[in-house]
Amino acid sequence: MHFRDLPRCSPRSLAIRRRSSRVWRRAICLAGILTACLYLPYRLAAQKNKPQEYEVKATYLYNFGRFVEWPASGNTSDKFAICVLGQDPFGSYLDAVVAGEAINNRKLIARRVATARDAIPCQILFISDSESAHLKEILAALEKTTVLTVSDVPNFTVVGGMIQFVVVDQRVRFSVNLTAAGKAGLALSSQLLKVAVEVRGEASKVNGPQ
Amino acid sequence: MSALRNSLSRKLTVMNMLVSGGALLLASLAFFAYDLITFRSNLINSTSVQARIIGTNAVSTLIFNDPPSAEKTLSALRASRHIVYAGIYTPDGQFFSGYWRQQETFPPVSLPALSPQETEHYWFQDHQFALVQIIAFQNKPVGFVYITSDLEAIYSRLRSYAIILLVIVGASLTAALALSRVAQRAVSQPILRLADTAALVSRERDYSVRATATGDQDEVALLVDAFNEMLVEIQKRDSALQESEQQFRSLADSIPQLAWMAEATGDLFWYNHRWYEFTGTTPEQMAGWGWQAVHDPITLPEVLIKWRASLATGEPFEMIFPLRGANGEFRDFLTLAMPVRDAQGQVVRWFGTNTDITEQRRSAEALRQTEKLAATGRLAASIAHEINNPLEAVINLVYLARMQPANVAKYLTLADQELDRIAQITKNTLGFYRDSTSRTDINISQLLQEVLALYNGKLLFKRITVRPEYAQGLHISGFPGEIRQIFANLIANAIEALPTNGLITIRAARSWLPDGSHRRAIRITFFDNGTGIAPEHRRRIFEPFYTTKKDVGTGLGLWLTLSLVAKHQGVLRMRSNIRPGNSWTIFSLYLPEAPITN
Repeated sequence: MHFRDLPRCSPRSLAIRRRSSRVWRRAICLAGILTACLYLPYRLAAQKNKPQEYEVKATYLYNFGRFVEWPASGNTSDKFAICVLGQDPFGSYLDAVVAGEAINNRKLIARRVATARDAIPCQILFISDSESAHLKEILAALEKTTVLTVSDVPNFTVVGGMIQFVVVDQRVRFSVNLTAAGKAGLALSSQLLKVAVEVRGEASKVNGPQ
Repeated sequence: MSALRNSLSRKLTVMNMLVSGGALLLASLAFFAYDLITFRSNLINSTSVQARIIGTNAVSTLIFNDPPSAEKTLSALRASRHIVYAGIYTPDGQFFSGYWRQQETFPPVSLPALSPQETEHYWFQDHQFALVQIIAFQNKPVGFVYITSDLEAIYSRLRSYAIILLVIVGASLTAALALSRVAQRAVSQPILRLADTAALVSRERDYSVRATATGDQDEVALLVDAFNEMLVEIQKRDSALQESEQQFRSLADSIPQLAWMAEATGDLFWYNHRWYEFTGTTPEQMAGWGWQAVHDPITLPEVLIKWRASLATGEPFEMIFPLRGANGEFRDFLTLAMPVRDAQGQVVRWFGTNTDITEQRRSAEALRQTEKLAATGRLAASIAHEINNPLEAVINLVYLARMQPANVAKYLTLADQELDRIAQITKNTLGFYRDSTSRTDINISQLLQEVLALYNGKLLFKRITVRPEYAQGLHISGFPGEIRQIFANLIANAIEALPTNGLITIRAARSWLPDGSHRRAIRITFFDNGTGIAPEHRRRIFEPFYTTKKDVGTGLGLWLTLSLVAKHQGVLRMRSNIRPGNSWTIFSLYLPEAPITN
């Protein structure tokens, strides 16, 4: 898998950005070739464990939080919790993403929960593939709560989940079930809906965060 | 006349046009400049706002890595037809999504570097305007938006301004033209009327016309008054001039001289009546250089040379030459011509007179002959006196020889000596009468001694000391009889001026003519310590019939001497001192060694 949004350092882009004399350009080109020679083995090694789908998904989990507004009456904790239910596919990525970050002045934390009940204080809950069998129960348990449910599981939005990751053209995308989110009192920003692959249902009296 | 009228009106019109057109142009340009500046800042502002809208709408597309969605956002820019290119870039400057007015006409422009503090940066370049803005979401930069707009909006505005300006200025100038036509009439009309009058005066030479007053009390009225006063003054001066001219004509016709006037070029344009009377010619014959017809062909070339020289230099002309009378007879005229100069000193014309000096010349010649006779008489007396002494001695010696036969030989020797003296005197005297017609070589010191010898008796009688100081070998070429007479006159004058025991010093030496010609000459000075010549006499001693020696002189001696000196092209000068106890007189005679022959 190849991800365009992953940081890259290409000598060519450096050369273009610095519009200087030909001599400079040549020097930079030479430096670029040298760098490439030194960097290539490392890059090849990195390539194997690099195209991490779940690294992107971890970032997205955090970013969903920035585009969704939770009802004021809900959780008043000063922490903003992103929870994982079931087998954790993120490894250390999620912890890396939330480290030092905050949303609406609430410190981000990553938690692993064992049951849906444990997930109630969470703002965002990722339901792992491993829980696909208990999906209905989990969603039922979270009804009437303000937890934003996200999952990889196919047809997640169809069965009442709010955001479902899909991979289109080797890109991580997502579809949204507005009705489910509306029931939980969550307002999804139109910006978020704009980039969604598919939006199910309709927003009921939802005021976007922006 | 109409050209003049046009010029004044046109000047006023052009002035009006220039003033109103210039003011209008300046005002319009200032207005348009202000508008363009405003428009420019509006362009910056609106582009900035557009960038912000695009950025805000592109936040989620950047965060969730959805370039197609960003493209959709960007495609809204199609409404702004001046935006050439817009791009969205990731925070590390990578191209993310773009919009091209003409589909993909060039690759995505790479992002210029922004300084860390800047949230926005714009610049004008290559007829384009470019702006880069940071896209921030919840105080975090998520990317950049980059918009390039062409300046067609400004250019088309400039074009319409140019058209508007042309129309406004054109219309205003047309209106100003029409208005100034009316307005200028009040100013130009009285001046044009005055100009008409002035033209009439200069065309008809009629100074009796008067300009009509305008009725206003403005500068033009002053001008009209001044103009009329000037005409009055001109009429006054005209008549005064005519009167003066009349007086001049009468004067010019009443004088005995012939008179004429010439242009600065030498063309003679006026003669008095006496000229026509004497020459028997007509004004037509005499016009310009026609006067040459009455000249002697022999002297004419020299007259022409001198006249042209005077015309060239402005020096007064003076010459004696003959003119032919109506009866065909030539008479000598002394001609004087003076230049008349203007205020700048330029010669504007010449005024000349010809005075008939024929009679004068004849009487002068008669005088010269008379003096020569008188001088001969005086000389005869002096010779008789000189001869008388040795003659008496001879008579006495003959008597003594007769009385004392023993001493006959001794007395005869003595008588011989006396007779030698007599022979010497007669020989010297002969020199005066051998009036040679050709020049011969003259030894100056020898001649001086011969002349002095004639006055030996007088010198002895008055006990006068003569001190001769001659340089060696002084010779000139001349007429010996005349030079002898010059010397005799000057020596005789010195003797007569001296009391007993006086001193005469005669010096002769080589020198130059003191007239600036640098010709070699011999200077002979006759010094006496006599009573001197009083200042009132000094000026007149060379005039004929002027004498202080009432009984002895004819008053022609020095006058004749001077004419003889002039004949030899020499110079004679006199200085004198009458202070008692230190009185003296010096005559300095300069004779050129050889005359100039022509």
